[in-house]
Amino acid sequence: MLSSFYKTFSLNNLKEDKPSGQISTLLILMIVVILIMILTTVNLGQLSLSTTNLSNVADNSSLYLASQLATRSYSIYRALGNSTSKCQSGGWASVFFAVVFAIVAVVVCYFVPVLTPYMVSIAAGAGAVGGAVGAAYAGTSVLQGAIQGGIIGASIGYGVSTGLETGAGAGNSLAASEINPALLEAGAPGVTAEQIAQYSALSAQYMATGSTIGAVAGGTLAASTATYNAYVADQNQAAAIAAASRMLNGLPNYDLYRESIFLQIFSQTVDDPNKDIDTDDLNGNGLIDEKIPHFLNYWSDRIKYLKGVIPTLESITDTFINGTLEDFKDYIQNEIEGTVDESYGSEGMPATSYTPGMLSKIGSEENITQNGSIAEVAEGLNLGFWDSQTDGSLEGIINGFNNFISEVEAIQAIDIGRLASNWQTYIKNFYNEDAGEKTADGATITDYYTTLEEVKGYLKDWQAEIVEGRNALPSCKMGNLTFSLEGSGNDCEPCGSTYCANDCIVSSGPDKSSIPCKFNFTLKGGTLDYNIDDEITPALSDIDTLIGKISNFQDAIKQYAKDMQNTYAAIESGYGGLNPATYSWTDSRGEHSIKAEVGNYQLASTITTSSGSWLKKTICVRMVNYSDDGTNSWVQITRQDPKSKDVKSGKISLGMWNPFFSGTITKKGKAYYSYDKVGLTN
Amino acid sequence: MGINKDRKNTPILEYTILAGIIIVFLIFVFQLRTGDINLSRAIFKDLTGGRYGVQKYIDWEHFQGLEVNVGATYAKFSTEKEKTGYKKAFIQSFSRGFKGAGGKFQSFINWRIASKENNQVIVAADYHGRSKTLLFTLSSAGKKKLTSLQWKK
Repeated sequence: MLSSFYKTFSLNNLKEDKPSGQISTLLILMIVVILIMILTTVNLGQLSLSTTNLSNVADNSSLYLASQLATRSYSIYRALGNSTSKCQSGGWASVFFAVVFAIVAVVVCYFVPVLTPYMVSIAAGAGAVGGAVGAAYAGTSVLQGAIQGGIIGASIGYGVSTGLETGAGAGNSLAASEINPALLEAGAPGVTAEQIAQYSALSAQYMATGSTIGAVAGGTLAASTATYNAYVADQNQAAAIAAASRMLNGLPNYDLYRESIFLQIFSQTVDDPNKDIDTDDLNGNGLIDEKIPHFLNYWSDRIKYLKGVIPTLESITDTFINGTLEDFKDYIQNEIEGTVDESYGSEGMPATSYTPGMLSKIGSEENITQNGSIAEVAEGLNLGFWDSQTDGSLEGIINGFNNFISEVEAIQAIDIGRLASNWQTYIKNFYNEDAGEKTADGATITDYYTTLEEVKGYLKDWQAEIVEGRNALPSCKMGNLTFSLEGSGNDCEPCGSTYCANDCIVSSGPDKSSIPCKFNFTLKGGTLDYNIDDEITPALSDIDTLIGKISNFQDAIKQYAKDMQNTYAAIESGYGGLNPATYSWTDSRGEHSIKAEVGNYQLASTITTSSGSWLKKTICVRMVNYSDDGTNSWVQITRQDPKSKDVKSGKISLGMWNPFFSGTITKKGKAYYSYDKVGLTN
Repeated sequence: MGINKDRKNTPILEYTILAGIIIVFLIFVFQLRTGDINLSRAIFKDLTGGRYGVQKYIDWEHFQGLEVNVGATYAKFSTEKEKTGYKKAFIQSFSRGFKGAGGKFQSFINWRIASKENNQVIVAADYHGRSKTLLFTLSSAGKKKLTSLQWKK
């Protein structure tokens, strides 16, 4: 039979005079030619499809990136009262407010870019920013009650879920995009629960209906998901890609944006048929013996790798917020409020004793019954910083530190995980290497670190004022203590000199010393009363201590910023590279790879600037990096497929796969954005 | 004559007493059925109205509002001042948030008992126009209090 078959279809028939065999052979040859033509057509079609697909993916991915960045810009823009900056006149302490604002307004506003349903839940939590900032002044319980009540009420009113991951620290993982601009006016201590809830509701409506920018983001995601679904519907892998999206949760913010774009790209371009056993149940369906795309394993490993840095970030942040910051806050609080010790009196009765702190000042707090060392000297010598209402006055410094204490408490109410994953947003408010430089409009960039330097300057001015005041005093008239037989105690016998036994200060008689007066036996000492105890030297010494504590705290701030940056820098490469990221696979056609790259995009964040003189200082919270023209907000995709691959049928070559094709297709999409616009650019 | 009259009145009196007992029984049963619903409605109405008095009908230590674990937060406060501050702020904010989001108490209709088991009763109310159902969980142990407020999944 084979012999007969060969005789019928052999190419030799074309040479021989066998008409029937010639026809069969010719037919076979024609079929081969047609097959080659079909293959070429299919191949070209496939190339065309790949090119078009890649172009679409690059466009919608860049648009998606720009949308996310714009949404972030927009949220800060709204938080700043529909402006790119928010200023308030005030002293150095306003910087503290700026820092907590930056943290609460942006960090608490936690967008999960790839999971748009969360946008709605964010809506329900809206208003928390206003609450967190404003109610921080009203106390933690009121703050949390207002936030939680507002969220639940607004959510029910709107008919949505809160989507909060709240546990014991509820109010921590709040999400919002709205802030009452009034909160930024003049310190805004009097924010009520009603205002908080009102803004909760407004934001719920705003977010649930969706802003233009949000819609763009949602739209592109929907488009991409639809495309992907079309690819994989028959393989039921939509759940797998949803699982891949979920893995992104908790990534540091900058990583989150980049990886969400990579996922978008890979999910639309990778057509790797390879599968693995889902031993880790990555798709979360409870089955561990089914097969899932190999890509999901790659993605899981990549995200795990990137998340590896999170515990370090959290640990550093926790140490700073609940260690360094807490300790400094406690120290300042004690020095302002003093301490009350409970003990038992001589007859065993309970008794309390009050010890003022160095910054205690009668009248500044209800419980302060005695001036501290600095207030005592400032009042006794009637120094300039005693009754002045300027920034550098005692009152000004106390008020500033009191604001600092409130704002530290507000920061501490935020979940450490959230703080750590958004550290890039607020870190420059703590420590900005550009501090001291001028912005375009002449304002000076400042930060926590610089502000504390300013405070130290005021404290040094106090010291100079104290020394100057002390030097201007008359010398104390000293005497020797003598026991008085007639009186009930000791008398101070004038010795006729300011250098005598230094036992006492003459408080009566013709040689009565005037007070306050300075000691001649010390360079700094002096007394405010007839008690020979030196009040001036301890005040100077206390200020030295305070300056030292502030310096240590400044060092800790600087170290915190550097530690965070160094930790982040540790993520260099791995699992396809940080950026670009490459995914490769091999199938029956050969080796393929997709390389996805995202531009050097910047996240909108805030910095603080100060301008004006010490008499009328203006502190501004400014949004930076809130727009781009496509220079940095771009996405590039490179697809590498086999080229010039021989397509064979047995030993016979049917033609070359991709004979005229380099095997590489590269497409780049660029998008512009600002807080009020998003679009593709050329 | 008098005896006859008495005999004639006796059944009427008996019927009246019997009818009274039946009515009281029915009211009792009806109250049993509607008491939890009325309590839930009253609590929700007061919450949406921002009336602080409702605080005594909320089991603050265990209260779960949607995904927010209110009880866990509340438990952190050690002083009465803090607790009172929290409750006041919560109730006021709840009301403002609810109204501000466009919510109306009247939109919650079809109040009914969804389930009754062990120590808790769940009352359901449909949110007209939103196609959602809000579930109120009341604890039966001791004085009835609201322990949970959840959307039906």
